[in-house]
Amino acid sequence: MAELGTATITMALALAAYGAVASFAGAKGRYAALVLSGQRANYMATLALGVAVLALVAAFLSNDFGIRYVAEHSNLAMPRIYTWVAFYAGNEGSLLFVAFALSGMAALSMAMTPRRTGTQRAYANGVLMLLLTFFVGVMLLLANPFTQLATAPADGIGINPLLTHPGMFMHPPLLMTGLIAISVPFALGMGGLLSGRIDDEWVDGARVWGLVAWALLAAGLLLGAWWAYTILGWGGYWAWDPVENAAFMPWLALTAFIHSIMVQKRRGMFRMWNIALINIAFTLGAFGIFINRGGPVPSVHSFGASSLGWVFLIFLGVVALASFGLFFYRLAVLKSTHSLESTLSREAAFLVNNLLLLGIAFTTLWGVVFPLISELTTGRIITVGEPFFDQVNGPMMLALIFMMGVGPLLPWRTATWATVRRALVVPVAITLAITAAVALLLEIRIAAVLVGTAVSTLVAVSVLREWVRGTIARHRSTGAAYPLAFAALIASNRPRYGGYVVHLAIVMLAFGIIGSSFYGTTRDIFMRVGESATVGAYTVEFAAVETTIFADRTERQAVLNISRNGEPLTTMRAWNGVYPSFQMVSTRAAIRSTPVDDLYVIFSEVQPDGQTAAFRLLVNPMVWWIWFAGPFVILGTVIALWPTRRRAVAHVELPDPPKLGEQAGGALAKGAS
Amino acid sequence: MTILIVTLLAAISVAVLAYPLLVRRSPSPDEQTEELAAGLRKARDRVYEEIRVLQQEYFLQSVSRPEYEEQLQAARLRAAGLLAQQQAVQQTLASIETAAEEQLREARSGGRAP
Repeated sequence: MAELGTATITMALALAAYGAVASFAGAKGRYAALVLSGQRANYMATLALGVAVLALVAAFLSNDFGIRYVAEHSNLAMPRIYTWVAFYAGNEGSLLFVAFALSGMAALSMAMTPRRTGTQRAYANGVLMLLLTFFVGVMLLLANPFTQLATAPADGIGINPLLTHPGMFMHPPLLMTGLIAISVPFALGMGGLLSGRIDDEWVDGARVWGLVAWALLAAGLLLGAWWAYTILGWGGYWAWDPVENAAFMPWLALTAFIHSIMVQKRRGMFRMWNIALINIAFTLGAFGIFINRGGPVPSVHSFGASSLGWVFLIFLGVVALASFGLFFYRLAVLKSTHSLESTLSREAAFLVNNLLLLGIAFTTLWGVVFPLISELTTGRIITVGEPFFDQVNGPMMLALIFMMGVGPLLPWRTATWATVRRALVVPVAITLAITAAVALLLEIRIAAVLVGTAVSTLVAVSVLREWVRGTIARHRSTGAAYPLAFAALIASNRPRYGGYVVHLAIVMLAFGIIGSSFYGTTRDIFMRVGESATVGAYTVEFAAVETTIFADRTERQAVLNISRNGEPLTTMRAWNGVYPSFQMVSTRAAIRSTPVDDLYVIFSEVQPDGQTAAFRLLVNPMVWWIWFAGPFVILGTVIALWPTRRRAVAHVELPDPPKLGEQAGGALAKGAS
Repeated sequence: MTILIVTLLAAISVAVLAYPLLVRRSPSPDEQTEELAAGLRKARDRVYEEIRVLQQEYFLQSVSRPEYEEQLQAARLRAAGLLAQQQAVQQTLASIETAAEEQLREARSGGRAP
């Protein structure tokens, strides 16, 4: 397997390099056959990397410990189901995964890009192949997953215990694929700049792939939060950790991009801004890879780090210089066909939303690089903690959610204050009424919570009101039943209503974050078997401790009887495992999750008597909504991406040009309605 | 086994990459016209989509009547222009087809293979 893997990676490197050269040379010399050959190199590189992936999977499945990577990330005791996780548990395997994902998406995106885009497409393929050459080259020369050991050990070291979690099947691949997927809209933009043509074709392709990357990152971030919540044993789900931030920043820039690109599609504006945004998103993605693989700052994700930081730092520098250099060189072709007519318009709202998103991204970036800057300037590493991020990003996030509620209510181009008042008065009145009722019922006295509740409610009210109004209007005009009228409304403008579904998911997230951040309860306690403790409305009885010895770990389970307000509820099991080969204790919290609150029990330490243990008991209100929001993010993206059915159009003889404007409406009615 | 897979993959790669370079084939006039027609179709669909969205926004009272009418008229003019171009392309395609048929007929009447 080792020989096959190395040979196919070498072949992929040659194919990617050829693809880059052929695409650039073919585009420059207008040599269509060479361009086509370059594009085919893209497909063949995917095939070669696919064989390499299969070779590594086969090596894991056959316990081929002669391959160093297999020996370091698996052992005989590892359940076969974790082969997929072990595949990308280390740097070498991650690089192979990233290269394969990049080549697959590059091939798919180029197959989907119309041929008529000509040199734009050729240059885009060249950029993608150049990126692939870099990743495959680094893998082959510095981190080959097929490097062989002089002597194969009888057993491997095993997989990192922190990775043996269901979330790990999807979280890392989604994040890696999401980060690398930004390459596609970036390459399409660069292809446009290199060819000197930034037109609507790039808008369509970049929007689709921007949304794909955005959804992959969003799903990866949420799964990562869930993994952290259930396995890291501190009761939280987000800690502004550098590696979390590394994926969060490009996601923010992409969020700005997928909104801003709609303005270009709709109004021909923000051309320059969109290219700048996709450059920023890609550069932040490259920065994310540097943080993730380079490990320059301390992180809970340090197990994924390597000594390749310098390579990715150079990559980051080259990407930033080349993309922004080209951007400034081509400024002339990026002039928009329209300019902002009023600050009271949907375009202006999109712009404010973009600035807030970038504000959050750059605040986060500052927090991530501050330890590096402090070390360079003072010689001491000063890390930036959660309070900094919460205090600076918190208000910007509230403003962003407010804009999510207000923006869709504003008309395109321009509006009068009277129009705005008319659009806002009902949603704002409903919002204030709901917020006041909630504040009174739940005795909310914290200003940030009240503001957060109000702005989140405003978003939900705006969305639901538009759906209700649209559905009723369709029902009246077509006579369709309400569910069908609602479905027809969604289908009538999928990008818009898919976006609204995502907005509702963000509202759920906001409520989950507000509830758990401001109203959580924590209690640290030692209990003997038979004792009980109370946290919030829950009573936790430590009923028993059970110890099981496995080949790779000693596992202890605490059996806990749970009651609420004196009523028995359920029995939960929290466990921890001691892994001698990793010198690590891994915990799995016992979690009882409901839409109102989570009871979360961490079983951390057993005393020498074997009957007393340390527990952390938490009640985290509304965390359930954070996980519940995830499927809605995906659903909204799928709706937004769902292709519109092409309608048949009858061709008619057109009148003479002077009469064209007057009669066009009738001729077009058939196609547009 | 490894040698077999690698050799096979290498041979397929060389063949796939070399084929467009060895078999020189410039796009025929009707292919180019088809490409142009596809581009126009896409542009037209985009304008139709714009009109649909505009009508919906007007329906939901997100756009004032004068603005709706102004934008609708502009979109219709653009669509009309595109339809005119499409018609011209259709005519070009038809004339290419007619010319080809004419050539075929001539070849047949002359007793030669086309």
